Amino acid sequence: MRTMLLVDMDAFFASVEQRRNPALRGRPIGVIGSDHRTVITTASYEARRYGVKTGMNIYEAKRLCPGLVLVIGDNDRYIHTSEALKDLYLRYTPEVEIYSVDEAFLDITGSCHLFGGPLEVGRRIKEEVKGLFGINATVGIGPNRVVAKLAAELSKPDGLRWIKAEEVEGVLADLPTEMLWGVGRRVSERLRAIGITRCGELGRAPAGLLRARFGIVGERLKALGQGREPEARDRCGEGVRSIGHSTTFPRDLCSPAEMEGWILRLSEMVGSRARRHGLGGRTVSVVVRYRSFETFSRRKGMGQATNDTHRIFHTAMDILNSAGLKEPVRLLGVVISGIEPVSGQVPIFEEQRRRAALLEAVDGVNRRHGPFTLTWAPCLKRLRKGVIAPAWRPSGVRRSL
Amino acid sequence: MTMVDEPVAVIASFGGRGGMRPLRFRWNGRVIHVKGVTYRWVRREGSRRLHLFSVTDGGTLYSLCFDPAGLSWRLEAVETEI
Repeated sequence: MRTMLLVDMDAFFASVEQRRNPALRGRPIGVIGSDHRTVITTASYEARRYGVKTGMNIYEAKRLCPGLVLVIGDNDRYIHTSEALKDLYLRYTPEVEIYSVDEAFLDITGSCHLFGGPLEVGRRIKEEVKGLFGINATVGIGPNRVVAKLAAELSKPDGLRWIKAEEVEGVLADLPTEMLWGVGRRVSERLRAIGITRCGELGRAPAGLLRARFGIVGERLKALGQGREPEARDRCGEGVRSIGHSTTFPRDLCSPAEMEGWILRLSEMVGSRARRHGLGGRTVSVVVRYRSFETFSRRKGMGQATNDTHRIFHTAMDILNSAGLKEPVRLLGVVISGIEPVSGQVPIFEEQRRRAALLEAVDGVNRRHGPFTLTWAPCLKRLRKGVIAPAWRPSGVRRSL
Repeated sequence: MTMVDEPVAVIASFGGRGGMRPLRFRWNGRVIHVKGVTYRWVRREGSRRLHLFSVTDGGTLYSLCFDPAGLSWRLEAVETEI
């Protein structure tokens, strides 16, 4: 039986800022991306008590919590802390999967007995995180990642909970389906439409009914309802379904021409990450979020799988130019999907060979000296630092359920 | 927060349980005694790794940056604790 442990930092960015500035401790704070932006990236628990949430407009947040202190976030602090946390986890097991900037799964199956059992590992990690960084972490433990995640959700903040395999069915029986990792509000609404509101009901629902309503996702939902992890994925990129990056602009932009540099920057981030892992994508998607927060995405195929920045960029620009933007845009994302390993075949044509050599040289410099040390000229004006995306991780591509 | 970005002379201790730690520094003709390091982190600039410290003298928060390549310190920003 596996033992998985999830470490989830409590209100990570806000906790780091409260640690850094003692005057902020115990006060309601909201971390924002820049002084031009108006959206809360993370709210401290003190602010959450007033109803302040991630993604909330600062005006709404201030209305709910007039004493809210806004703090501009700093990626370097969060990245450094996240990397140091990874080093800490590796002292307990070599099987560490960094899921996001503030969440990591540890497979402690083979190592927990060395430390006195799963709960003792969880207790020690919480204590060390508190001692080193002064911030609280919640630890969830279970027989797989789904249950570990649930255990953490049920015990936040500053919690520690172990749901053993024999307890899973009982814990899930009466929980709302929204509590499950990977079951969002929309899926829950669709489940409610067929009379399923509890995890236990989802786990017992006929597979045929779920398949008819949700397609292949139906079987995954049933597995989640039973507290099982839908499918095993390995750690080398197989199972990765997409690679993407998004950014919120310092100010809303109106035309595709204004967004060109940003699209190139995002395409380079996606392309370089895919190249680092020998992966490519057959489809490019562009995610657009308007000022009103209405969000949509459009996609376009590229034929063969690629990780060439410029092919991704040109496809993304085609999508954007034909999207017919109706409002100023606050956020753009570029995603490649249809992921597959890109073969090491030597390009036939001289132009392709030169491109491949150029990308290899650029990647080599950036690996050695840091991202965007060498980059495309239109990206130079877009090297600002907003607050890092929660999905950021120190290395590798993110696996998803 | 007020951005400063000036070179400063710092007395620091190296090694020991807490690792590197600024103890006091001279800025604007005053010697500022560090009462506590509230956070420390690393920033990469090209191939350089800069070590940053948020330190307090009890009323004001200072961001100090140590560049191991040049063995130099800079005061990056000053924040009055609110």
